[in-house]
Amino acid sequence: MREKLLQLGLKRGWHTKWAKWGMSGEQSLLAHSLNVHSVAKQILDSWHQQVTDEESKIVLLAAFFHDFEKESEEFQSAVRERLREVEAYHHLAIKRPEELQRSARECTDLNQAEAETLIQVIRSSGALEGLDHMKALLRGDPLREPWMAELVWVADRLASLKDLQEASDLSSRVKEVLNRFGLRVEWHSVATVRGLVTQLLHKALEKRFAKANFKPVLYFPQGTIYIGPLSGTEQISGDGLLEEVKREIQQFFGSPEISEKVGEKAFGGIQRTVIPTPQYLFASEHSLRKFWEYVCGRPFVNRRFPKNLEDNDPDVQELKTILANDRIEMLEEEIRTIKKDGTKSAKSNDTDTAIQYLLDVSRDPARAKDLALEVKGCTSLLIVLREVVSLVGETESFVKAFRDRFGLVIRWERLRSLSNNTPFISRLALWLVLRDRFGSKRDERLKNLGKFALDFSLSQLDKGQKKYPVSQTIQEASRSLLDDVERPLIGDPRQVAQTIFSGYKQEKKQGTNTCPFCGGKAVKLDDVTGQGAESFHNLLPGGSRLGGANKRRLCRICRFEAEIRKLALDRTEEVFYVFPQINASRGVYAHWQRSLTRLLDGMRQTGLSPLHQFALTADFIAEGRLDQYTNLLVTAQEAKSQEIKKTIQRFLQDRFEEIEFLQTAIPELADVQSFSEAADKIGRNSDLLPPNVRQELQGYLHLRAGAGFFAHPNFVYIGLARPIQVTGKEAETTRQLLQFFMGLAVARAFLATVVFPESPLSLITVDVPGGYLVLSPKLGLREILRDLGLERGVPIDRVDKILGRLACLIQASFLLGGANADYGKDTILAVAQEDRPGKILARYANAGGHPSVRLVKLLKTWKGG
Amino acid sequence: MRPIFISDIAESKTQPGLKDRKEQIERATDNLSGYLINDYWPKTLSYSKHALMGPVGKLLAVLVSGRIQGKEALVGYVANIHQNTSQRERISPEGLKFLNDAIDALVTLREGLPKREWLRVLRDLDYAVFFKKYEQIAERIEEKRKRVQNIRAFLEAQYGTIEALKAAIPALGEVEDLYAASGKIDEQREILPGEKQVALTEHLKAEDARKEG
Repeated sequence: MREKLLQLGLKRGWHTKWAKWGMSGEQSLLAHSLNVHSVAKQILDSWHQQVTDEESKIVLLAAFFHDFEKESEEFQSAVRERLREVEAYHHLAIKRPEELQRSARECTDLNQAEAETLIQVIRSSGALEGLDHMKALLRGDPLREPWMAELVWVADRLASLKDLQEASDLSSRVKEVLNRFGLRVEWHSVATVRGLVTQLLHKALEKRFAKANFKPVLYFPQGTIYIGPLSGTEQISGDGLLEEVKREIQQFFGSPEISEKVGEKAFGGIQRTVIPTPQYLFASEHSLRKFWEYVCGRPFVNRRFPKNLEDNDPDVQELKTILANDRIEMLEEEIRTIKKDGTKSAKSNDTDTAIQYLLDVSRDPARAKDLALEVKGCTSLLIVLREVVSLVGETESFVKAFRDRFGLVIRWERLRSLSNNTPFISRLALWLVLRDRFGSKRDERLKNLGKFALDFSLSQLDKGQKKYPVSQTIQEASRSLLDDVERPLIGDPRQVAQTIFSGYKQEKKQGTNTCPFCGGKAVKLDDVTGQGAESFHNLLPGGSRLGGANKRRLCRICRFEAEIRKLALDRTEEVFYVFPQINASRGVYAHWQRSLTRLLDGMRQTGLSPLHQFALTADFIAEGRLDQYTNLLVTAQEAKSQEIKKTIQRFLQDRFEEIEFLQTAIPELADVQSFSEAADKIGRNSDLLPPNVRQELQGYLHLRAGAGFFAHPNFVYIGLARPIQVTGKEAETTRQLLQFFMGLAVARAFLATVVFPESPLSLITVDVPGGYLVLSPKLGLREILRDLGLERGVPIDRVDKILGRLACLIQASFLLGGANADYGKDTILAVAQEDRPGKILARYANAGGHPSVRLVKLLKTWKGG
Repeated sequence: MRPIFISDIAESKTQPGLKDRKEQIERATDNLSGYLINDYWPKTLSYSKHALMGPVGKLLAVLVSGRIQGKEALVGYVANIHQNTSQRERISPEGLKFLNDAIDALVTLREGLPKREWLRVLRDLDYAVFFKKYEQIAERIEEKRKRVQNIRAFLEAQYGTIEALKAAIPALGEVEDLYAASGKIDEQREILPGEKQVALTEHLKAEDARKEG
């Protein structure tokens, strides 16, 4: 029934009508009605008394339709004109009972008696709204089941809370009515929204409350309101919560999406060193396996030369020079040194055999190229292995394991001096010595070495975990995170303030000493992840040198947030949040979930990100198919089949490298002659791929879409790997304008507020003003917003109109581009800023564009005509 | 101490107020575009701004330069250009009224505005008039396109193929397809036999009614 009610609300335009307004935010009539419906349902479910299906149906319908008269133009104009006037409420008594009953019948079966009761329940559930209301109450029969009206009333009261603090000031009547249903209210709140860590904190707190039989009914970005039994106890101790937060973070690391990446991420990315985060490397056996899988799959280890590529690789050139005799002696000397150092007691190829082998290889240019790459790959793998050994400090065990596996005593010093800068001749000598021991074929050799690396790392797992406990990182992060909790109060806020202040006093001589994002105590000299390789704060005194200690210093928790964002998405260029309009119930969250699932499915099928397809979104909106926005990718698949095909082709090339491997690995594609042909076939029918490769392809397409969603009813975190822009060369204001458009489209699709933080890691601490979108406009965008009659956000009643106008702007810009009458990279901005649409038309006409009614209409609509 | 002078920048008594000014600009825009829409069709087919604006573009240019001052002189200047460039050489009485009213509004505006503001108003006016004229042309073209499509549907239903149509109406001459034939028939309905002309008119009326309904 909820879905039908949602569709009915959309049809009646309730998403563009106010239910709540004022300083604390705005909420659409649709969101509020869904919330009251959902809260009423949860109260009913928690009530020990049995209710009939009919009663339940009437209560839920009454909850949804309780503010039916708010849709009237009288009410809406009263709100619009005098936003805080109570006068609006004079219009609330049910004046159109038949209309209400008809609407209810569109969603469910309702006989006449039930329909009458529905009106009675609604009339009895609100405050008296004037004389008409009173007369109607006196005229009708008294309600047989007064609890029904009470339940709707109390659900409305709860869903009308605009702030978590209001939960502490509930009126005695609300408490009394809730008591009658055997319930009471509790809530938790946190000080700030940081991103993913805050979601984890919300989850942990929710679980603690669930243990005391409290169920969440309303979600705010900064906390949750619960209902629970009168006898329930919500005693939440600091230690218990700490354990829950830790468990939540561990579960996050263990989730399928993240655990796949933990091992990979240990290998660079987060910082520029090779293994910057050993705690992730030794997190689990799974992460170690993923780590070596990732390393062995990288091109620097197993890259092959495509047949048609010229041999311009410096190592290949080097090999040629060596084989041109003038440096053979030097190579022999190198081999002798290695043997003297490392293979004294072991059997080894003799130098002459090695040289002879080399000369044989050199006769075939293709083999020579392959050899050069193999040398590079094998020695690079050894470099990574050496780093892992150094991390656990177990050189003796390593030497022993190497001897046991390959029958060769490898000298640690020799391996330690090996680096990416080691001359090729030395690498070649080392490889010639090791070659036969690793296997007789290239693939076998790399596989054996990779397997050895994995086995050795696994044998050191315990030691690694002791030395680099991921649990310690989690422990520290969890402890810091608890300082964010405002209620139930666990830590001493004075102590937190004192720590920050003493940190400031002690360290103020060294650059920043407080975290630039949250003001907490900065603990680590660090690059700011997600904000370029090195970031420097802008608070240094004049004349300070950049570099050294003068980098941004983050607090533990902001650093942790940056790290886990990196695990979630390789790059995070843009971040925004989907917040509830004031508050959200499980009913609204169900709508969010459905929208997200559709978007994710589309991304996995097409590799296209819905949040970058502004041209397509504009088409959808202009065609009035706004409610299908989250289905956008299904159409995108048809519209952009070439782009999708290219992405599949790239995946196949990365995965199989040469067409012969593809033909052998997938019998269904044995007859294809090129990757392009294979991509074409797979694009039409992905079932041709074996399940594991198909899954890989889906992952690849998803990753390529470059959008990460983390959803929780309190808010949804959306990270984008590439910013919303056309080419990357456009002006900042153009980008902001597109960001504004896409953000608003998302807000409208989710029926929620979209908030853009100042920078990706910025916190959202202040109360978010309502409407559909909130952003901090910069530069020229302010002027454009002023033209649209907006300041910081988009009010409830104007969302569809503003979206329509922006869609027209984008379509008009593309139309100009089609006639070669565009204004270069910033056409959208130029059209937006032009006061005289005639000038744009003149440009189009003078460029030879055929007279277009569409362009005239688009420009008129953009200008508000 | 340096004395402070507060100069009193009084508005000229002849200068219209903001509201009046807006009205005058709208009046000028409506009348100029009214004249263009009613009376002016360039001899050569072109959709460039220069071609579509015709005498109005010239009028605005002399207003910018100030080369011609008097109201009658301005009307005469426009009439002369109209005669040289328009398909229909004579301006209709309605067109003349539009022109007179527009020039009247413009002269009043010029008297009440500072030079800089006057030039800005002329620029805005230029594009506003062009927008209206262009809109009208684009709509006419769109209407024609739809009408030709309807005629094409009619011809297809009546004659089936282009070959059958050409055989039935030799006056059509060499046309490539039904769409081209529809275009020709739209311009010269008399090519069609009498009863077909009536049927086509009925068909077009029915289509219009269907769309409006």
